[in-house]
Amino acid sequence: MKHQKIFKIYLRTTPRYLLPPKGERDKPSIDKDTAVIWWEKSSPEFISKVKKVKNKDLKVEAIGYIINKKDDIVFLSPSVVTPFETFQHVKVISRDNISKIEELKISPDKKAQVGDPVMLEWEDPILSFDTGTMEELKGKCKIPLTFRLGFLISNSDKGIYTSSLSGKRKYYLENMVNPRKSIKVIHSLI
Amino acid sequence: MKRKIAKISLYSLPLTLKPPIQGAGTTIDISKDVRYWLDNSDPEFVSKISAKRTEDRDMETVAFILEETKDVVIYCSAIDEGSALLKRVRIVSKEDVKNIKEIKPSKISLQVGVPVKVQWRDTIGNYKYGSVENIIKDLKFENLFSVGYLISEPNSETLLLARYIDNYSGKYREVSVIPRSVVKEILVLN
Repeated sequence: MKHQKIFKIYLRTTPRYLLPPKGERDKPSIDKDTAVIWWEKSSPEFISKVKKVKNKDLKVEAIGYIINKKDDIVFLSPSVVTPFETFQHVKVISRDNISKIEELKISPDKKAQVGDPVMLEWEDPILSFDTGTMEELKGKCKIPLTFRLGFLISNSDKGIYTSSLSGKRKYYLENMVNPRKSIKVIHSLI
Repeated sequence: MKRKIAKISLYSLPLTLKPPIQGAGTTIDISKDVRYWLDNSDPEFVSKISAKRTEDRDMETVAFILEETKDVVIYCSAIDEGSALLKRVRIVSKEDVKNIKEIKPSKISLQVGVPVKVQWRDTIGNYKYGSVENIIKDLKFENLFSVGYLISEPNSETLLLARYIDNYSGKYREVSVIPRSVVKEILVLN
C-alpha cells in the first residue's frame, strides 16, 4: 500500500463524528467518497454545528489522515484499513476551526517513546460473511492490516495504548488498547 | 463463566435479535437483557420469528445458549466475560430447531472441522476524555470467548472459526478471522 500522508492537526475544538444518513446502517469503515456523501446528507443542524466557528481555542491536537475536503470542511480519520482503503472513526471539522496543519513522516530509526505521535501496524480480527467450502474460505478470509495513528500514551505488558486526539493538561480522547501481540510494528512519527 | 454451549441443528436460519434502544444490553445479567430485548421487540419482528417454516436448510451451529423458553432459543457465538457486551444475538423459533445437544470442553485432539471454544484478546477502544491513568483504568482486556467450527489448520497463523455449516452443500458461513498471536487457548468441544 502506498502510505497516505499523515498530519498533526491543531484544532480550536474537537471534531464531530460523521454519522450515516438517517435510515442507513453505520459501517466500521468508509471510503473517502462515502464520507462526502454522508456529509451532504447530514441534517442542517449537524452541518451548522460543524460550521460554527469557535471563539475560544480549546487547543486540541489530532494525529490523522486528511481523507477529503469539501465546502470548507475537512474529513479526518486516525485509521485506514488495507487493502480496502477505507477509513475508521471519520470526523469532520470546519477549516475555520483548524489553526495549523503539519505533515509528519515515519522516522526510519527513532524508537517510539510514550507521548510521541505514532503509527501502529496491526492485525484486526474480522467477521467474514463469505460462504464457501473450507478450501474456498481459507483463500478468501484474510486479516486486513490496519494502520492506526495517535499519541502513544502507554506501552507496557498491559498493552499498547494510543489516543488520536489530545487536549489541554495531557488529557486524551478516542483511545484504543491493542494486545501487544496484535501489533506488527510501532512507527515513530516526526 | 460457565455458560451452556450447544450444537444446534436448524431447519432455517435464525433472525438477529437487537436491543430495542441503542446501548441496551450491557449488564452482566445476559438472560435478563435478551428477555427484555425480546419482550420489547416490535410485533412485526415477533411474528417473523414464529412464522411457519417453509424450508429445510439443514444447517448446524455451535453457540452459547443465552436463553431458552418453550417457544424460542436465543444464542450467540461470542461473549465478552467482563462487559457482557452482546453482539449478533440470534433468535430462532423452537419450530425451526431440529435438535439441541449440549457440548463441553474435552481432551480430544485439535483437528480441522471440530467444534471449538477459543479464548482470545481483542483490541478495544473508547471515546472518553481523560487522563492517561483513567484511560488505562477504563480500557482493560476481558476474557473473550468465541465458539464455532475450526476450519483452518490448528497451527496456522490465522484462525478461521465458522459459525454455521450447511450440511447439504458442505459450505460454511459467518467466519471469525482471528490472528493466532492473540489466541490464549483453544478447547475442542464434544
